[in-house]
Amino acid sequence: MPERNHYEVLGVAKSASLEELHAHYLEKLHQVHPDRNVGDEDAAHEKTIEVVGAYRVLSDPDLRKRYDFRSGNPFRSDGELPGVRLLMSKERKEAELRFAEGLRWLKADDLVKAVEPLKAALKLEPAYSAASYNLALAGALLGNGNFALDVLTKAIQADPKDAALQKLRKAVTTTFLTV
Amino acid sequence: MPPTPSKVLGIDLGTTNSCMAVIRDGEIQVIKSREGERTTPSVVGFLKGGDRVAGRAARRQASTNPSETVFSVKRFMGMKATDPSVVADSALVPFKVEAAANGDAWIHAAGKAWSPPEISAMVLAKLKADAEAELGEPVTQAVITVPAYFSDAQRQATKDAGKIAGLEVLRILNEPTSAALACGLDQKRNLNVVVYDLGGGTFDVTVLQAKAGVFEVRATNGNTHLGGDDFDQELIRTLLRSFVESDGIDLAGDKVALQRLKEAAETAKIELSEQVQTEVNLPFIAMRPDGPRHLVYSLTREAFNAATSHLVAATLKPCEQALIDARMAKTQVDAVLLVGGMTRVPEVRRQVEQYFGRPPHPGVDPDEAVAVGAAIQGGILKGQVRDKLLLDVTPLSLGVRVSGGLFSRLIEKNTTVPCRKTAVYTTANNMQTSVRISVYQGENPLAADNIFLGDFELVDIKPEPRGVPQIEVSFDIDANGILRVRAQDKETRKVQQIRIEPNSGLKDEQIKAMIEAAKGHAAANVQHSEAEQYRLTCRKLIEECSRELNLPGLGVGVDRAAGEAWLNQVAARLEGEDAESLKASLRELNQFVLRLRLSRPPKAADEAAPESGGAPPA
Repeated sequence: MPERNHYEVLGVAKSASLEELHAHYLEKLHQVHPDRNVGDEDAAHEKTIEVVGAYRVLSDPDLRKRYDFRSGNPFRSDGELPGVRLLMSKERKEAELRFAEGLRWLKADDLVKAVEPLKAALKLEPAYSAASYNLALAGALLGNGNFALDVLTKAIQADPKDAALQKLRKAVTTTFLTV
Repeated sequence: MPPTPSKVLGIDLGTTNSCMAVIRDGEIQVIKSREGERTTPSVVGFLKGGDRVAGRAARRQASTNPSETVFSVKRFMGMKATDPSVVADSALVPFKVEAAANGDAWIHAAGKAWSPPEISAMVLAKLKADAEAELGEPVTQAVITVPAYFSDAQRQATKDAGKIAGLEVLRILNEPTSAALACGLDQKRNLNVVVYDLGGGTFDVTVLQAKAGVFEVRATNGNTHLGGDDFDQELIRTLLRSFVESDGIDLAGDKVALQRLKEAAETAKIELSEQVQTEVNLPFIAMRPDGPRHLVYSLTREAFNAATSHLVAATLKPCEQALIDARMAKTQVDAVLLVGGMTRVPEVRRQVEQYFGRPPHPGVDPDEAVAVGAAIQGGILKGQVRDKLLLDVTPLSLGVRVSGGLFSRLIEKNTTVPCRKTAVYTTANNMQTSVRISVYQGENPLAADNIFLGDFELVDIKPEPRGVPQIEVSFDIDANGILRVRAQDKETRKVQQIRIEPNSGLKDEQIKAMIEAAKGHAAANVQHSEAEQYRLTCRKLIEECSRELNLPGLGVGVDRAAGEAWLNQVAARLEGEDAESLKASLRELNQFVLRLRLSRPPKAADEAAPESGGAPPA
């Protein structure tokens, strides 16, 4: 089942204020809570979890900021390096493997564990844009905007034409580094 | 099938007194006992002829039958006999508390051992019968309240008690939340409410937000072993000391005298809520060759306050923590509700008022509010109350044991339920094909320091180098507070899950037997002897040692073959040993497993369990 957007779950606009969020949250709870749906608890349980989870994220300004950032900047899965595979060096193949490992952890929502393999991929293949992108994204989401910016700056120097890197740098700067 | 009864009994099962309420013709009513009282003492008395009494009658005969009269059993619900608070509490009660086969604290009375849920069930059965007499119809469903800070095991024990008494427990509800539900606070405006609940045996504080009929708990804290009983004990100590001084007699070993002192202390405490001075008068408290001795002691409220103010002060720390957890300043609190009989004590009211900087919310009946709230929750579940909804939180964090015995939290304390949290773990060893998921509850960084809830094994993981497999663990708590844990290997899609049944609750078959016994039938009581318990633990340890021995990266100075041989030797002799020597073997095994773990190079030792760590970006 694809996850619904938190804003859709609560039935509010992306610009909703905290008061609006809370009002919608309470209204939804009255509808979906298992105590209101005796006899159909299992479905009610699922719906309530969704509502409570959405409100938990959106009612916390910091979590909400990260949530918005994340939905606007998905992970990159285009990890294949250019070149003829048969002629590829051992290092490049290893770098691809490490990239895939990192991506797997990102998809499992474990940012911390994704960091090490992504760093390793970059060490083997310094101009690996997709790895830089994902590493910067993980770093930013973990609360280290400066680290993310560092990674991105280096990557953009190596590949000035990559638009995705530029876009992410802008998003990181506006989301995490504005005072 | 008989029609489901429409009335749900709301029960406040208190440490010293219980209260019940019901929705009748759309009105909430407190139900009086057959003796005509609005609360019923949570006391059970075992009489000489084999009969037993509960409630007021049990309390009345307590002073003449102290060792066969059980009170404050709530303090032992779902507790281990070795728990320090149980050890301390059992020294203060005239009846005997002993360890059951599973280590739980049980009560010895009338020549047999009773589990605390069984004793509580006797009180519940009395309430049920009184309610049926009053309502003129059978009552089979109930909502029972517990302190917010009760652990899973304590909640389960309470549920078991209901079951044994023949009640279907629709919900275990937190007392402070229940009280808030009863206070008619649901207004349009958002209200921040603190419920301060000091009862006979427990203290709870809950911070909640009420708006549009939804009562949303933000944080809860407390102390399951702090209440009116402790105030009584301070007074008893004062009286004992004074009698030693005046008459040179120590009454501490005299059960009958102690019971009389307890009653006198409680009475004095209650009187001091109204008046500033009282007299404790216990004639013939001791007999001496030269004649009887009497205890006469004049007690002022000031002296009472001095002896107990540290207990009141001890309640303010949980208040502070709850506010911090709720991210709320004292000035943002709109109402303070005082619940529990102890909040009648002027010094308690004074200190709480001073702390929060506002007088308590008027019109709360400290003895009845909790039961009334339970009846309302019953009404919500029956669809009779449509404009209220309760949203509670988990009082303690929940998580799993990971490498190095650390506790990895999945659900933080004070998380709104229902909820689900997922985390991904990996293996610690190359080609590992199974992982053990051990579930704990608590706030300590080491798993072993928290409460163990249960464990299971996820097997048939695809063999891969360590760190590669992804094992997704998810915790799911429903509105009833029941935790389900699920683990899945993302590669093979293999799933394993359990419903966590608190391990110190009673087994189903035990409960069934108790239900039968409660109905008047005799039930055989299956019990392992002490020796059998040690033997089982030894076997488990041997398994663990041999697992350790076979892990790769054995430490220096450890010989696998010699270790195996020694383990076999110990295993072989277990059968013939008695409790004493089994205890010695247990110690040896414990030391061995410790040595194995310590001898391991630190890195390898770290990886003896699923790994969760990893370095954050610099």
